[in-house]
Amino acid sequence: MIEVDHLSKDYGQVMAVNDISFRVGKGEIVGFLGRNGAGKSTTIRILTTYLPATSGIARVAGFDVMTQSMEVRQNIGYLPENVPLYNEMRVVEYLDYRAKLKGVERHERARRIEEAMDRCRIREVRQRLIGTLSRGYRQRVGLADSLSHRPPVLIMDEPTSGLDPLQIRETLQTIKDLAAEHTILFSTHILAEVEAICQRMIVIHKGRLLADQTMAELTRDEARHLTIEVKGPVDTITAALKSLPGVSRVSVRSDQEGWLELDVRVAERADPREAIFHEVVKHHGSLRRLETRRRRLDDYFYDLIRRADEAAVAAA
Amino acid sequence: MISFVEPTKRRLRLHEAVPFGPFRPCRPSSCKNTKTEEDFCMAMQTVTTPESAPSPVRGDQPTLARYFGGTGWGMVVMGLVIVFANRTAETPRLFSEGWGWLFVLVGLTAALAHAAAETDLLVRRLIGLVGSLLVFVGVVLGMVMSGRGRSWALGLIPALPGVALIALFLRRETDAVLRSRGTLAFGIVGWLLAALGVVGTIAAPHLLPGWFAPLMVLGFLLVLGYLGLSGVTSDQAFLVARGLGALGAIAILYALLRSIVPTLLYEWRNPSELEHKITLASGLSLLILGVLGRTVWGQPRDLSLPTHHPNTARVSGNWAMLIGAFLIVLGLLRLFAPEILQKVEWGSEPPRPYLVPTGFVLIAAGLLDVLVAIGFLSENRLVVLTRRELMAFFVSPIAYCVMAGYVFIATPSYFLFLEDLLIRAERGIPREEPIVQGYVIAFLPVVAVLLSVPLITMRLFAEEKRTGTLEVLLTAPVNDWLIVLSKFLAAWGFFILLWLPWWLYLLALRLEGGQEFDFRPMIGFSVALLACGAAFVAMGMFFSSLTRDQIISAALSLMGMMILVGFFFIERNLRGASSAVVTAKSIMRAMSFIHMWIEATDGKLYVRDIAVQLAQAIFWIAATIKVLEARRWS
Repeated sequence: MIEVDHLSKDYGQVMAVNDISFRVGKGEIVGFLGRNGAGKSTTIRILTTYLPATSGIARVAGFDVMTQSMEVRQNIGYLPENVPLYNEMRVVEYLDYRAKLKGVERHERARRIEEAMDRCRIREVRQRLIGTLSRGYRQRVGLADSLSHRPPVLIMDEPTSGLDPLQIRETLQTIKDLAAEHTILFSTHILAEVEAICQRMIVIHKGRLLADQTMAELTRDEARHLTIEVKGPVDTITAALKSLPGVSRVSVRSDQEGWLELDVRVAERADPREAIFHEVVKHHGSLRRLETRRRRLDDYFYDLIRRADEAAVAAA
Repeated sequence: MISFVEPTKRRLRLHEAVPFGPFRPCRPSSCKNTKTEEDFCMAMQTVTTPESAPSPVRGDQPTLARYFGGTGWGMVVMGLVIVFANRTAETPRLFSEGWGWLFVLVGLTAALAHAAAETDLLVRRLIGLVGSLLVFVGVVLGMVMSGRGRSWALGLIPALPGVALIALFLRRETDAVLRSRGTLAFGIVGWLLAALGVVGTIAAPHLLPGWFAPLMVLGFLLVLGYLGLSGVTSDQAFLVARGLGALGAIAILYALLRSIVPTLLYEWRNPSELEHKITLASGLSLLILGVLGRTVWGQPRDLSLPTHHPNTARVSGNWAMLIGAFLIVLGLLRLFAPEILQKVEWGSEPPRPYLVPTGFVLIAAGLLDVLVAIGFLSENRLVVLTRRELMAFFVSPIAYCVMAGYVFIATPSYFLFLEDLLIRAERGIPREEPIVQGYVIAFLPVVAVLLSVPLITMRLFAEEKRTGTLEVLLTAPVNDWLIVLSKFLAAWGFFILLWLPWWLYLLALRLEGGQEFDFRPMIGFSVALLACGAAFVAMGMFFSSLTRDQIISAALSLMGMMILVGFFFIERNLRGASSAVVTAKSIMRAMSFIHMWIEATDGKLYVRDIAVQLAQAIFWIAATIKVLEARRWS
C-alpha cells in the first residue's frame, strides 16, 4: 500500500531524508521509529502530500504522491503530530465538516461519523467544543476524523505523544483494532509501543534507513543467547555443551553456591535448548534454569544508532 | 454521618469495575524485562478503563469579561437615565441625548462581549432572561409606536440586543432540551417574520419601507442566528434552511414576473413583425440540433461503458431540445398573443414601474435568503470551506470588536451628517444631492476601513499556521485555490456585513426624516465598496499567508492600507505641471479608492475603477495561492 523508492528531501543545507526505500504491504501495521529530528515527520509529510520530495518516488495506495496528490489524499487518513483541531467547533460539527471535505456521501455520512465516534470512544463529548477537551480526547477526535472516510491507509505522526500511560494503552489498543481494516504506518520514538502492536518496524536515523525488520525476525535474532544454570560436573558439561551443534560459545557468567550460570551463544536459526537439557542430564548434572535471554528492543535500537554514528565518525 | 459512608462505598464499587489484574507473578530474573510484548498486551487487555465523559472543564474564569459586563450594564442604565432626563427636563442637561444613546450603545456592546464569555450557568441564564425581557419591551414598544402611526421598527432598538443576548445564552446553554427548543423557536419565529415580510410586500408594496423591510431583515437575522446555533448537522435546521430558500425563490420569482409580465402584456397587444419568426426559427434549429446530438453524435462509441455514462453530446443535446421547445412555445405565444389579448382586454393600459424600488428590494431580499439557504445546504467543497471560515469569524472575539467598532463609527458619523443636515435646514441652505456623499465620504468611514481590514484578515492563515490546522486542511482532498478562495469569500462577506449599520441608519433617516432623498448613489457606492473591499481583503489575506504571527500580519496589512489611503492625499498635495507629476497624479487617482468612492457617490461608476480594484483582488488572491504552493518548491 505504501511504496517508497530512494526518497530524499533536503531543506537547503539540511538533508532531512536521505535516500530511503521501504514498502508497507496491505493490512500491515508498521512502526516508524527514530529519534526526534530523524526525519520521521518529513517522510510522513511527503507521504501525505503536504511536502514534495526532492528526489525519489513515493506511492500510497497505488497513487503517486507528486502527480496524483488528490487521489492519495482521498485514500489516506492522516493524524498529524499534536493533533491540530479547530477549537471553536463542536466535535460532531467538526467531524461532519471534515467528512464533507473528504467527499463522504450525504446518506452515509451520519452513520460513518457515528461509527468513527464509537470506535474512538468520543460519543460522550460529541456536543462539546473541541477547545474544552483534554489531550486524550483531542487525540481521539483527530483519530475519528482520520477514519471517517474509511481510508485504506492510516498515517499517524506520534499518536501517543503527550498522553498519560493509560491513554497510551487505549490509543494503542484502538490502533491495533484498526489494523483489521486499514494499513497503518505510525511514527513514534517510544519503542515499547512498537513492540506492543507492530508487525514490523522501520528505523531511520539522521535521514537514513537503519533497519527494516519484522518483529518475528527481530525475536529470532534475539534468541541467540541462552542463559542456563547448572550444578554438577561443571567442566564436562561445559565441554559437552560447546560440542553441541548450533552452539558457538559458552561462557561462565557467575558462580553462586555451586550453581553455575552459563551464557550460551547460539548460531543463527538454531534452537539447541532440548539438546542442552539432554546433555546436562547425560552428564549427571542438574538444570534449574534454561531461558532465552531477550534483548530489549531499546538495547537493539540504541545499538543500531550507536553503530550508525560510529560508522559515520569512522567514515569521516 | 451516613454521608461519610457513601463515598467509600462508591469508591469500592468503582474499584470493582476496574479489575487491575490478574497480574502474572513476576519472575525474579525477568523482572527488569516486564515490558516485553506479552506483558504489555496482557496489561492492555485486562485494564479496561471506565469510559466516561471528562469532567466539565472550568476553563478560564471570565473575570475580565465580568468587569466588562458589569460596567456595560452600568453604562446602559446611565445612558437611559440621560436620555430620560433630556426628554423630561425643559432645560438642557449636562449631557445631551446623543451622549445617552452612545452610552447605551457602548454599554450594550460590553454586555454582549461578557455574555459571549460567561461560563457560569446561573449568570448565563440570567442573561437569557434579560434578553427575553428586552425582546418583550421591543414588541410592546413596536405595538405602541405603530398604534401612534409611527413605524413599528422603533421596537427593534431594544429587541435586537435582546435577540443577540438570547442567541449568546443559547449557544452555551448546557441543558439540551432548553437549548434545542430555544433555538427552534428562533428558527420558526424568524422564518415566519421573513415570510410575513415577503407576503406583506407582495400584498401592500407601499408599506415596504416602514413595515416590511425591517420585518424581512429581522426575520432573516433570526433565521441566520438559528442556523448558526443549530449547526449543519441538525435535521430541523435543514428543513428551516430549505424553507428560507423556498421563500427567497418565491420572492425573486414574484418580483421578476410582476416586473416583466405587465410590460410584456402591454407590448404584446401589437402584432410583431420579426420577433416570432426569429424565436420560432431559432427554437426549431435548436430542437433539430438537440435531436441530432442525442441520436447521432451522442451514440456511445465505446459500448463497454455503462449506458448512463455521462456523454457531453447527449447531455447538451437534451438541453438544446429543451430550450428549443421553450423557444417554439414562446414564438407561438408571441404569434397569437395580440388576438388573445385583444379579446380578453388584458394589458390595455401602460403598466406602472414595479422593479424600482419595490421589485429590487424584494429580489435583493430573496437573493439573500437563497444565498444563505444554498450556503447552508450545499455540499460543494467551496461552500463547505467558506461556511467554516465564516463561522470562525462569528465565534472570535475580534470579529465582535470590529463590528462594535463599526457601529461606533457609523453612529457618530450619522449624527454628524444629521447635524449638518439640520443646521442647513434651519438656515435654509439646501444641501445638494447627492446628500449621502457627506455621509460616507468622511474622515470616520475611511478610518474604519483602514483599521478594520487588518483585523479581519490577520487571522485567516496566520492562525491556522500557528495551530497547525493548515497541515490538516492541506492534506484533505481539496485544492489549494479552493482554500484560498473560501477564506477570501468569508472575509469579504464579513467586510460587507460590517457596513450594514450605515445602510440601516439611512433607512432610519428616511423613516424618521419623512423626506425623500436620492438613495441611488448608495447603490453605486455599494458596488464600489464591493470592488475595493475585495481588493483590501485579498491584500490582507496575502499578508496573513506570509507569517504565523497575527500581529505581523496585521501590521503589514495596515501598512498596505495606509499606502492605499495615502494615494488620495499625495495626489491632492502633489503640485507641479511637469509631465512626470501629471502622470504620477493620474496613476494615483486611478489607484486611490477614495477617489472612486467620491465618483461613485456622484453617480459616476467607472468600469475602469472597478477593474483596477478587481485586478488588485485577483492579483493578491493569485499571490496567496502561490505562497501556499511555495511550500512545495523547496
